[in-house]
Amino acid sequence: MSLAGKKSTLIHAGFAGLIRKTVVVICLFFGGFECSSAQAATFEESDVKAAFLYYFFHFITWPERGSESAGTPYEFCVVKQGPVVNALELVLASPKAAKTVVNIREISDAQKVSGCDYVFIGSASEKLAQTIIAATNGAAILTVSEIEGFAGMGGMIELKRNSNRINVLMNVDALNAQGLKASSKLLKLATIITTLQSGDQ
Amino acid sequence: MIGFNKRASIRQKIIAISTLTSGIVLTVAATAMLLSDLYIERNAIVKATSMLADLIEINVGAALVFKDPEAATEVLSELKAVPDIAAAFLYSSEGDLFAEYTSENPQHQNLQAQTTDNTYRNPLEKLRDIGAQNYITAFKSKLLDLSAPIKVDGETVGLINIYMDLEPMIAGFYRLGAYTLVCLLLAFSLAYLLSSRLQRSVTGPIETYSRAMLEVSQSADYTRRVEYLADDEVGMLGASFNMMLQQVQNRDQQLENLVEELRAATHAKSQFLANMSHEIRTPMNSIMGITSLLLDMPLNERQQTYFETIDRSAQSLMVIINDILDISKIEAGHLSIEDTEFNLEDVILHITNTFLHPAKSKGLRLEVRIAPGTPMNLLSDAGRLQQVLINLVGNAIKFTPSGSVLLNVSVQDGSDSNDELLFEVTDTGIGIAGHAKTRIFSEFSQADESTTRRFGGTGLGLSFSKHVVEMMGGQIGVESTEGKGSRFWFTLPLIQTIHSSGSNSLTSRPTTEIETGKDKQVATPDVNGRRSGYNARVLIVDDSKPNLFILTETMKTLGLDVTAAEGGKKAVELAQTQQFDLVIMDIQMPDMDGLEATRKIRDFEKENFTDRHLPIIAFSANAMEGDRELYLQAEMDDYLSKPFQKEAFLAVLDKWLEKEQ
Repeated sequence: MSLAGKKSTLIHAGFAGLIRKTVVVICLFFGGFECSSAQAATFEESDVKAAFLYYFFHFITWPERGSESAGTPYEFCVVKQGPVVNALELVLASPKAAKTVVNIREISDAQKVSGCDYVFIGSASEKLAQTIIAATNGAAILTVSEIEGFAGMGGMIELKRNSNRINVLMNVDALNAQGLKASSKLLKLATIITTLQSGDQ
Repeated sequence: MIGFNKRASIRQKIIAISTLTSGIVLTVAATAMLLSDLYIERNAIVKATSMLADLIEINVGAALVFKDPEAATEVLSELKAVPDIAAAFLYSSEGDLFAEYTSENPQHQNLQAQTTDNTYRNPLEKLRDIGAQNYITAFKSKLLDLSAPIKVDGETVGLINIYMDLEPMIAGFYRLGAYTLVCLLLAFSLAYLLSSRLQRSVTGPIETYSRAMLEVSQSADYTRRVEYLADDEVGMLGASFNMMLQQVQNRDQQLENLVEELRAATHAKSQFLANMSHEIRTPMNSIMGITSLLLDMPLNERQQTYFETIDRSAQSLMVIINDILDISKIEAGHLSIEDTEFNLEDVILHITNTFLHPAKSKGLRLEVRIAPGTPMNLLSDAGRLQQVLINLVGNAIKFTPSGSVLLNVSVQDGSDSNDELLFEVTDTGIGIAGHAKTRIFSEFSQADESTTRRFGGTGLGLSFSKHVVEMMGGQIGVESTEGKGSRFWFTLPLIQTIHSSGSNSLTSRPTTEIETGKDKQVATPDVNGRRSGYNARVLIVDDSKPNLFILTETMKTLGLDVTAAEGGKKAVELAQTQQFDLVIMDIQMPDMDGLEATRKIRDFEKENFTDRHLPIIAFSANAMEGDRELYLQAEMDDYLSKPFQKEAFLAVLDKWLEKEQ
C-alpha cells in the first residue's frame, strides 16, 4: 500500500468518525433505538453477514474440537465465492481475528463436504442447499446460509434480512443432532426454528 | 517551637500542652481515618462498578456482535437494580453508541447532563487508553466514569461506559466527617477537662513547694521542712529543698556557734585587758603615791629632777593604761554617757592646768580662746568632754615641736538648726598626710608607723575620742597640711542649764588668753605648799599595804589624824568604836568588801544616832561604768578612782571636810 493511499484512508476514517459522532449525538438527543438500527444500516449487508459468520466461531462449540486442537485451522467451505465470503476474508485478515485460524475452501461439488467444519451457502447457491444439508447429515459441520427458509428446511443457521437488520434464525434441533452446541447468549438473541415437516408446509 | 506567654502559669501550660497535643493527634488521626475511608469507599465503588461492567460484558457481548441493540438495551436495563448508577452507555468497537441506560431517578437528571458533556471523549480513545487494563476510571465532581471493554473470547468488541452516582458516597463521607468532628470536639473537651483535673497532681505539689519556700524565706525559719509529696521529679525537688534547708540550718548553727565563740573570745580579751589594767593600776598607784610623797619632801635639785622624771613616766604609763581601759570599755559596751550639770570654765581650767607645764617645758605657746557669748553652764558629760579635750590637746602638744597650740571654743548653728558647741584644737605641728586622715580615728592607728617610733602612744586616743563624741551626739574631724599643722575639731549639742545666765570671768572679756608666759601663770592648787588647815580624823580602809601606806602618809602631810584599817571588818569595828570625820574605803577586800562594810556602818548609824552621817568615800580601781551607781546605792557619798591622784584627792577632801579658819 502506498503512503498516499494510507493517508487518504486515514482522512476518510477521520471524516467518517466525525459523521458517526454527530449521528451519535443526535441519537442521544432524541433517544431512540431506531437510531442504532439506522446506524446498522450504514453497513454493507455482506459486511454484517461476514461479521456474523466470524462470530459463530466464538458462540458455537464443535464436538471434536478440544483445547488441543486450538491451533488447527477451521475448514470453512463455501460452494461459490461471493461478497460475503470476500468480506469474511477481510475480517479474518484483521489482527483482532488472529486467534481464529480459518482455512477458506471452495467446494465444487456439494457432496464433497467431508473435512469441512463450517459450510456457508450463499444466496447464489440456493439450489444446492438441500443437497448440502443432506450431505452434512451425520457430521459435525455447521451449516449457515442466507437463503430464506434455510433453517426450516433443516439448515442450522439462517441469516435473514429483516428490513434494515440481519436476524439470526437457528434450528437448534439440527444443531444438536450433529453434536454442535450454541452458546446460550447466542440462543438468547436468535430466533429458534424447528425443521418444518413436509406436512407443515 | 510554640512559645508560651511568660506570665502563663504551669497549670495553664500543662492544660495547653495536653489539650493541644491530644487535639493535634486526634485531628491528624481523624483526618487520616477519613481519607482512608474515602479511599476505601472509592475503591469499593470502583470495584463494584467494574464487577457490574464484567457482568454486562458477559451478557452483552453476543448482542453486540450480532447487532442486536434491543437485547443489549434489555441487558442494560437490568442496571436499574443498582440505584446508584446514573447512566450506562454501550459502544461498539467502532465507537458507535449501541445501547444505553439512564436511571429514572430524578436526582440523576442533572448528573446525566454531565454524562452528555462527557461524550466529547471518543469511545475509541477510551478503548485505546484502556489498552490491556480491565477498566479505566475518571472521577467527575459527583460521578464515577468507569469504562471497560466488552470482549468476546478475548477480542474487544465494544465498550461499556458506566456512570456511578457518587452522591450517596459523598453524603456518607460528609456524615462520617460530621460524626468525626463531633467526636473530635468531644475528645477535645474531654482532654481539656482531664488535663485540667490531672494537672493538679503536677502543679499541686509545685504550688505547695513554692508556697513553702516563700514562707521559709520570709520567716527565715530554716528548721521547717516541706512535706514529701511524690516520687517524681517534683518530689525530688522537695527532697532537694529539704536537703538545702538542712544544710542552711547546719551552717546557721555552725555560724551561731562560731559567733558565740568569737563573742566569748572578744569578751575574754576585753576582760583580760580590764583585768590587766586593773592589775597594773594597783602597783602604779603605789609608785605614783610614793613619788608624790617624795616630791613633797625637801630634796636637792638632782633628786627633784629624778623624782619628777619618775612621776612623768608614771603619768604617761597611766595615760596608756587608761586608754586601753577605755577602749575595752567601749568594746565591751560598758561605756556610757552621763549628763550632769557642769561649768565649762572649770573643764577648760582643768585642761590648761594639766597642759601648762608640758607645753611650757617644750617651749610652746598654749592659748585658750572662748568666744564671747558662749554659755558656761551646760548639761553634758563633763568627764568625757574633759577626756576628749585631754586627748586632742595632749596630741597637739605631743606632735608640735615648736610654735603654738590653740584651743578655741565657740557656738555655731548645728545641722538640726540647734546650736552646738564647737571645740577646735589648732597646732603648728607636723601635720597629717592626706591618706592618713581617715585612718587616724581607727583603733590602734597612728598617722604612720614611724610616728609610733618617734612619738610613742597607743594610737587609741583619737579612736576613743571619736566614739565618745559620737555617743554624745557630736561629730569629730580633722583638717591638716603636712608640715604646717593640724586643726582637730569636734562638736557637741548645746544644752544649757537654767543657771546659764551666770557669767564667768573668762567670757567677760572678748578673748581669754592663758599664756604659758613668764608672768601670767594660772593658779594651780599649791600641792607643794603643805597645806594644813584640816583638823579631822580620817579612817582609811584598804587591804593593800602599799596603798594604805601612801594614803596614810599623804594624809599625814596634810595634817590629818589618820587611822588605818586593813580590812572591812576592822573598819566596821573602828567606825563603831571611834569617831571619824571621813572614811576612805577600798571596795575589793578579801574579808569584807567596802560595800558591805559601808552598809554595816550605816546600819550602826541608824540604830544609834539620828542625825549623824559619816561621809564614806569609795576608793576603787574598778573604773568600769556603773560602779559609781553601785557605790552611791550602798550609801557611799563619793567616789575616788585609783590610782591615787593628789588633785582629785584634795578636791574630795575640800568637799567633805571643813577647813579650819
